[in-house]
Amino acid sequence: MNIERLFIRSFLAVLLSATAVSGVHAGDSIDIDDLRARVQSLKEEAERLQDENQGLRNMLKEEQQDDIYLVVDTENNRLTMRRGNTVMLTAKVGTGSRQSVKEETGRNWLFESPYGSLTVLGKERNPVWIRPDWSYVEENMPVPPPNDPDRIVRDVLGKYALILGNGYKIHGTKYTELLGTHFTHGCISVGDADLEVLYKTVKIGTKVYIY
Amino acid sequence: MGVIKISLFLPFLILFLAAVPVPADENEERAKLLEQEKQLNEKIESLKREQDFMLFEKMLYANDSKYLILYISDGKGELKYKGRVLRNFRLSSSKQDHRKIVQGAITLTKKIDGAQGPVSLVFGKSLVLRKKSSSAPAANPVPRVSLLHKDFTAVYYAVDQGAKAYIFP
Repeated sequence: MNIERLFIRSFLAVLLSATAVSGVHAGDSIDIDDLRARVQSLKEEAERLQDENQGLRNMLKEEQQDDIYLVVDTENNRLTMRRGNTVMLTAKVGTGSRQSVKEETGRNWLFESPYGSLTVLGKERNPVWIRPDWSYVEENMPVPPPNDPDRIVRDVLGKYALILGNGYKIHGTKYTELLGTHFTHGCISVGDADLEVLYKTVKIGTKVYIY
Repeated sequence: MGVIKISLFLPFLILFLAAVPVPADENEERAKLLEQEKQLNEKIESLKREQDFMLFEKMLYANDSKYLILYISDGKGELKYKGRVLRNFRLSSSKQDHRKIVQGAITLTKKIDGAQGPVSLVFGKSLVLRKKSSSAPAANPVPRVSLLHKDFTAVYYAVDQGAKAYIFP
């Protein structure tokens, strides 16, 4: 074989093997030092974000409270007792009728449950109902003086009551067939069995969210 | 003659060898770095989305209004107030609508009522929440999500115009 052919064959062999080893890469034009620097910068950014996110997670965890709270859905007349995402009790309730009563003197009352965030301010056994003025107006009866003993009515609010303030309570009812409807004058009426669970579980200071 | 030919070939050979790309190990490193870069970019995007949601929640903890968290893929939603869940509910959307949903915070711009009660909650051009039985124009650029009647009614009356929601597609 002449030296010329040998040279050409060697040259082609070198050409082929060099191409096989190096390949043709899309990133071949990127300087590897630049690439290393970019990756390092991205690693640092990812670490920074991870640290920030952990900080936020801790902050949110601290603000979250793990205690029991009550939620009253006035549209569907349901009360749930919850601890976070766990529902401990769902009860059919009665909520404000959204009716109104007007007195000749001009006073009027709208019977709506109090929306918003409330707190259990007290707990009662065998609560007594002190008839408010509207209950007389509603029945077209004369309104007695504030301390009239006639205003004291027993055994109409069930065995227990949770006091929410401003005259509102969560209490029992004789009208259990109306639970699940809007029939009260603003208070939240609950069936006996559910009321007992609430009374025994809920503490003073428990939050009540009514929407 | 042969020497002349070799002499002609030689410069080409030298030129070629000078241009031969980097050794195999550097190319391997380059490929790994490019892959790392891609993965890090994806990770950073994911961390940013996570942070966006946590900042949203943090803001609403201090706010005195109810808000919604919607997990579209999971078919679940939450009505919340100051970080507390008031109501869990199920939701659904068509594949077509699902594709249009983008992660992020949205604002309730309109509550629509009808003769038979609440019809829909409009969150600008981002989303419409409605009762499951509601009929709507077939082609609608704004993605729609449906809730069961009781859930929709409860949510409708719970939130006011301006209320915030956060969607996870």
